[in-house]
Amino acid sequence: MTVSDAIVLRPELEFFEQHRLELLDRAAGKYALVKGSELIDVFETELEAIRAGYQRFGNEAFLVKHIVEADLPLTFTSFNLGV
Amino acid sequence: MPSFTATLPDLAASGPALQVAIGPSRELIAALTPLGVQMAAPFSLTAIIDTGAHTTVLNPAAVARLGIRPVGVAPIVTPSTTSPIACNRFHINVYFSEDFVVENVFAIEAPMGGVPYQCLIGRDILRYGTLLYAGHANQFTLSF
Repeated sequence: MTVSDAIVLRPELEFFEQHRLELLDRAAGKYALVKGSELIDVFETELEAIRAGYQRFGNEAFLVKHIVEADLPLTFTSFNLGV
Repeated sequence: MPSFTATLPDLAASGPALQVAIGPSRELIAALTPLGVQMAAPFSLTAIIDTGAHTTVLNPAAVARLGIRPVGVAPIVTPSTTSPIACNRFHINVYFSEDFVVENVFAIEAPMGGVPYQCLIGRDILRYGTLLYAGHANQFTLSF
């Protein structure tokens, strides 16, 4: 996956990738909340993770990530996007 | 059942475009309001219904105007990409009228290539509705 400079969550992404396998072992299918290089917690649903992130960090960037073996890309089949 | 119908001069040329408003998600507002932090009010922009879009998309200018920060990253592929590209994800509300909103939308941020709209309404929202495209009448209807 190409990660440009526009992605402010690079540290969180790197942390998640480094710990993906151990997270899979103990929390597959759940959602991880990551800030910087710290795992805050795991949650049953994405919305619970988002809510916890906003309550803890307010309007700051944080990463909520589904704990799965591989991320499937979202497909866009029209030419509306300039990428 | 909320229903939104538009009749356009040339639907084939313009596509099913409509005005929606976007704003921060209810979760963000609920978290910040007790702290006295004010968020951007919802604002109107032009969107197009795109059945080829996996999820809703905002262009960078719309995201900047919202003043919200990303809550995730998602890989995307388009007809032009040779490998997945990471895009920021944002948690927003999409208002189709004053009294109908689709909440908790995970929109991605991506530039749009010279098109007269700032938002794609993707299949993440269309999954809740019915889209009727009446090409012969230059009219479309989106019902929820």
